[in-house]
Amino acid sequence: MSKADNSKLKVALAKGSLLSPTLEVLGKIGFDITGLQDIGRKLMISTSQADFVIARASDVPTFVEHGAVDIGFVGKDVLMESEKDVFELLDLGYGKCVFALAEAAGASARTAGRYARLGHVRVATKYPKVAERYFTSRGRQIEIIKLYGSVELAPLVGLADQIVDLVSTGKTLAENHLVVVEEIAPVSCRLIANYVSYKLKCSPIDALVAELRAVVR
Amino acid sequence: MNDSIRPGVPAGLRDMLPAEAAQARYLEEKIRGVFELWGYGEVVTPILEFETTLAPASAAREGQDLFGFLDRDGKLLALRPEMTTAIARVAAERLAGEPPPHRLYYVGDVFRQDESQEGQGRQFKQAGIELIGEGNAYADAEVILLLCECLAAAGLNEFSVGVGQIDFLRAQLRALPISDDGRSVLKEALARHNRVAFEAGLRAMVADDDTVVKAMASLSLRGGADVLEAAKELALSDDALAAVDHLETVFGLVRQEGGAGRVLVDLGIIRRFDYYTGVLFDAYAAPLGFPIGGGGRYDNLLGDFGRPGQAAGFAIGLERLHIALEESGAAPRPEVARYFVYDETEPARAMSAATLFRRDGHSATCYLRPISAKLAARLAGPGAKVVRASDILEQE
Repeated sequence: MSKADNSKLKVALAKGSLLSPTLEVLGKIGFDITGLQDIGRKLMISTSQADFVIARASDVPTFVEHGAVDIGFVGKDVLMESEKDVFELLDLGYGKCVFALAEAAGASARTAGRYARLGHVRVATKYPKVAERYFTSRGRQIEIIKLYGSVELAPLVGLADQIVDLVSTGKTLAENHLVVVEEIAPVSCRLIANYVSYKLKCSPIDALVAELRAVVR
Repeated sequence: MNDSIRPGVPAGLRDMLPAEAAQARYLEEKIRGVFELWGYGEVVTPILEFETTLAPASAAREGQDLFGFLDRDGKLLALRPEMTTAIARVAAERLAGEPPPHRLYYVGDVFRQDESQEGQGRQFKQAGIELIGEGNAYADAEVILLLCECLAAAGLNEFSVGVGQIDFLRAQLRALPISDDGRSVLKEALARHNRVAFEAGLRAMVADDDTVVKAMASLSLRGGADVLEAAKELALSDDALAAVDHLETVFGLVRQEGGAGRVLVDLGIIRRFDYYTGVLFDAYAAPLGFPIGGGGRYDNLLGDFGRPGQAAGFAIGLERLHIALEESGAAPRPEVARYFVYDETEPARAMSAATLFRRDGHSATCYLRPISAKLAARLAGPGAKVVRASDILEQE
């Protein structure tokens, strides 16, 4: 990829559930996305309008922070957990869900008792930084249990008292007899930009923001 | 060899070997040369300072990044995370009796606990200047031009310096019909580069759509000099307008001295440090995703040391500058003609021959056996020459 090419943007797209709605809005604002619909094992796709990189969602903020790409489309959940220094330019409105604190139905008295007697609660999560920030802001001490898979399991088997996780429909929680204690933060797809790119490629980035703003509203 | 100790170094720190160190020093010398040419004098300050000296700046940087420890007397010390605070201390304490302005420069290592970034480990070297005791547009222009001059002298062909004015955004925020708490929320969003949170907060607090649109547009004001006209249109108060006028004057001076092609307007630049008070700028080299340097005016810092005064300055990250040069193929290759002198029969003759070369001011090393031209070139670059001592001495 030529670094001197100032007009063509390098764009990181997050694999997974955000990919298809992202392609849809890119299509709506006039990007040719035919080559991006079925990417197979390809990781980079160059079109006349932009160079696309398809990356694991949690890597997108890193690509953007280092300037390996100019901009990225990624969930606010990933952004909050990564704590990378990037410009967050636009809320794209899709991929909506919420970070929530949840526990087993009817367990609140037990959790409160544990907190009173032991001074902390055990919280299982895939997002330790988000959980830590939330509890610190509430002045509560917790023990974080980092998990990689189904976090809902933790309270059921007594591994944790509460969980911090993404909730979209609430179906998984309900099926496992868990209830939301508090909603921590709303989540949706965001457009992010590298610090230097945002300055040096201001015209294409500003144009993109304006066009996206028009279709996502 | 199993029980040999290989401790390595702590994360974010590293060694520099001769090839890199020679280039790094060459860059450093180039920049020192420019500083001296502009009449700046070098200041060397301790690597360790009292933690309370460094705290005003570092607290604003979320406080977690100082390397601190207790000395034997129970005093809390810290490794400096940047140089400006130390220079401000020197100006307030040591130069109080001298007539201003003071033009000072430094080249030194700074230390931060932050996660390492490209070209910025937990120890990295900065070269920079502080112009203390002048608060006008001429001083602002001088500092910006000097930064450009340093980057050009280092050999960087393509770079940009984005120049903003913190008073503009502050005035814009002040003009909004919101509470001080609300303003803090918006400032925090800006410092985090979070435009989504800024807009959400703004819309929640300000009903007038025209004001919201103007405030949002103020953040994206960057580009050529025409942006200054757009900024005047968006100004929400006379203070904001005055801030743009000041920037226009600075730009006029920079343009007059030939810096026009290298300088961009960027009214969205903001820093976490509250002590910045006027122009603010960042230097970018396209291959690198992080700024290679930056600075600004900070008339509120010297007051922390009991002697309020005006000051402006910048720092260049030397390692980042080195990376940018390397990436753009413009890295300096300091040419050293080095002689590799050998004599397989009488090693003492190699010593004598090398002495002759050194007397003439050439770099020379002795070998007991012949050395290949290839190895010599690897050690000392294309300027390396392999010489048999006997051949030279017989000619004499």
